[in-house]
Amino acid sequence: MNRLAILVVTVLMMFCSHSKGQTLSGQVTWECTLKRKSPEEGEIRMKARIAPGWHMYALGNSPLSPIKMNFKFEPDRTYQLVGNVSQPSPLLKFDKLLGMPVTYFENEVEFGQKIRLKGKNGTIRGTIQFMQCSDQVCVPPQDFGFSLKIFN
Amino acid sequence: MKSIKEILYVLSLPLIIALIMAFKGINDDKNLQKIKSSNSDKSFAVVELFTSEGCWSCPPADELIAKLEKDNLNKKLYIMAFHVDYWDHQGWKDHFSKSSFTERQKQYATWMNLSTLYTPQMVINGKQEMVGSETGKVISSIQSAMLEQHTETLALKVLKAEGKNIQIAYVSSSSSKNSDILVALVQKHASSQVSAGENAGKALSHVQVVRELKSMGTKAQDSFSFKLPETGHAWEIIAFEQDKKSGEILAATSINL
Repeated sequence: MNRLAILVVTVLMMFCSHSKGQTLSGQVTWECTLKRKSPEEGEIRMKARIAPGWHMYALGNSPLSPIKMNFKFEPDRTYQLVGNVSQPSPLLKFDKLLGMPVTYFENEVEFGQKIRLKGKNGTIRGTIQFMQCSDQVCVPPQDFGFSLKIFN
Repeated sequence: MKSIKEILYVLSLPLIIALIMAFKGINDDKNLQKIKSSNSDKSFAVVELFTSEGCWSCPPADELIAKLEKDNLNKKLYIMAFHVDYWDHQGWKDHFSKSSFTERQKQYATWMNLSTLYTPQMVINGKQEMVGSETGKVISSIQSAMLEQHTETLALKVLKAEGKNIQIAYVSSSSSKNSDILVALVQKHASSQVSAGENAGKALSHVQVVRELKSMGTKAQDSFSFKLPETGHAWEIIAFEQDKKSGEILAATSINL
């Protein structure tokens, strides 16, 4: 009886194609925090949660590809960027259409930007431009804006 | 003995799945051939694909319209591929993209109350939209469009075709007071060179690529002109009447240049 149930469920699953509602409900969500290491040193951590079945492109893809992924921080007198945005090592796939390897992330990824704190009561304002695709669709590049208050 | 039975049972599941998939594929192909084989005078299907060369998930949708276009005998099946420009930037550009095509996709998102744009998106007769690679859904939507009855209210005529300059006239007997006539200049076959990466220099091929789209309020008759972006290709003009409020396509016709 159990086996029959499994079979019925499997067959039903085959006939239920994914609805677009499911396909498109894969918005990447961001969470940004400021970690203080000392009174002068800190790191902006930007964590992306990627829905199952979706991927988000990594930093460092070819400028000759359509992939857009970048971080912008508005200059402010109270802090200074140290180095570039860091990321864990991404997944890699050869994209036949573009004819080049592309790098991307699935599930969850955290980017980091080290900063040196110079003044008091500052605010870090930034924008993350990112691009995400599922196996079925790609959505246009999106901007996520954030601001973090620096408490002294 | 029991365990062998169980193993066989487990092995049979993927087989059943494979058979069902194969059956679905054969059925889709059969329906696709049916759509392409003939047409009635009273119905039509306008198939619009929003796509881009820069979109990871678009090639299956491009292949689907290529299948629809190949050896098509259905004169009332109108196919248009609009390349959107939201992935263009300084270092990369889809040669066939235009911001007005992105605007058209945005207009559909408004008409259809969609929360986001995406590619590949297929729109049938301005009324139904779906992921462009969902073959079964696209085919059944075209089939149901072909069952609707319309009176033929739009006709096209080539007034002038000299070199790159084309002048076309239309006549409309539409009774709608709230519609536009849209006219698309369509390149039947196109290829573009990949400009970056290991495939640099390799050609990507496309069908039914819209190179220009013009829109005007519906009149009893009017004319418009196009300048061909290149010569040496086969071109088609597809004209259709679209309701300004709902986006529904009310009439459609085409002419080969």
